[in-house]
Amino acid sequence: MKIDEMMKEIDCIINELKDSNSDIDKSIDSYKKGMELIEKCLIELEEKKIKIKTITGEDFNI
Amino acid sequence: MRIREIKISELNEYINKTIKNDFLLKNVLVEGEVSNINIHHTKNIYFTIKDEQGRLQCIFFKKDDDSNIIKFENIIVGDWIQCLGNVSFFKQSGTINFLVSDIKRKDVSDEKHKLDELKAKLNEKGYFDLSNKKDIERNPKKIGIITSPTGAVIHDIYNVIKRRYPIVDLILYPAFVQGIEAEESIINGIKNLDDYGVDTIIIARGGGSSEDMQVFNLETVADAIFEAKTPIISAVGHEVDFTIADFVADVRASTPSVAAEISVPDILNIIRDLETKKIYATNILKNKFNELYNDVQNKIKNFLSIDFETKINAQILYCERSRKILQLGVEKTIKDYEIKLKMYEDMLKTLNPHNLFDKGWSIAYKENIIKSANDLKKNDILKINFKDGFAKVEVKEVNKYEN
Repeated sequence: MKIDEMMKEIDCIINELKDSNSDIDKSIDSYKKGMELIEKCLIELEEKKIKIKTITGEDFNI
Repeated sequence: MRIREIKISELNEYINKTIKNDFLLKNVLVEGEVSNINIHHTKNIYFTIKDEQGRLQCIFFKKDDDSNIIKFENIIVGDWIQCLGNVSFFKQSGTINFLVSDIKRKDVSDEKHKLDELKAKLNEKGYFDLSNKKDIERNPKKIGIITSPTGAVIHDIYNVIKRRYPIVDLILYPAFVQGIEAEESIINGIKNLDDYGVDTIIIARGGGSSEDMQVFNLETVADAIFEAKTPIISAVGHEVDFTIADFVADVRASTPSVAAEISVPDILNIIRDLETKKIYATNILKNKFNELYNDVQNKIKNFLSIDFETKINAQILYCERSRKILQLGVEKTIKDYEIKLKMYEDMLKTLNPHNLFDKGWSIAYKENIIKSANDLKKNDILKINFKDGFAKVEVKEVNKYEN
């Protein structure tokens, strides 16, 4: 899954969790999935940073 | 025979006496064409008459009461006259002259009238029009010459042409240029050379009496000249002689030598011209080369004067700046993602259902989560989840809030 798609899904999970009527188990599962997606995104971003460093030969400035 | 030795004066005296005593030399009437006239300031007139074979020096001594002077003053070169006089010997100069006492101009009005009529007729037919004149080939390969094979004319023409333009071929058509055979001979010459294919035809003859040149005033000869495809130069007689052939020909030359000069260029001039052109062309090439050479030199100079280091450094700087912009762009994108993810993470953590346990809340299940008292009845066994464990409990009593 691409990072944008994952971000979109995280956004959906947050909206879902904001709904107080949602099922607690489902909420916990969603929460768990959201955190996993965040982790995946971070890994992806780290990989991209390495790729950029390879291209530019410089460390990340921001 | 015994040789006698005498003085010139004695001999001249003897000749003078002999001539004076010869009655055949007195009151003689001779006729001929006037070839030159010289009127002395004393009004004595010196002139020459000639015919086909010879010349005669004539003198008219003016007398005070002489009415004949008017007749003498009116004669011109070319006139055919009859002279009455005596043969005389001048002892001092040792010359024989004809002392003329009277002259009579021979009537040529009929012949002249006929000639004028023919001229008018040919003029009407366009024979003399400049628009019908053909141009003489400037660099001929073959020249045809119609003239007598003997005599000075052919030699003059040959010498002039070979001196001026030795590379041309000369083709002589031997012709009669006077007499009864001349007409056919000249016409055949024109036709033959025209058919043979030469670049120019010269019709030439030397000087002579007007009778000698009669053939060049014939209509048939004029027709042949006009109808020829080849340009024709006529050179008949001396400079003062004009014939119909001269008017019809494409070019009239005053003498055969002039005709030869007109018919060919001077090869020395051609060589000089070529030399000049060669120098001119060489100079053009040299100038062109110098222009190109200078142009190339300037380009090299301009090229060498370019500060490549500055240019390259500017390009490097530009690339560096572009690279930085790109890098910052991509880094910012990633940073944005990270910020957004951090925000999501914080939000998720806030929304974590386990947070309820931290606040002292617990969750009761039977099969599903118990959300209402209506879901329970007495003696139901429930599972209650805490933050750090669970308990199984039995429902003793179910009470509902009154709302």
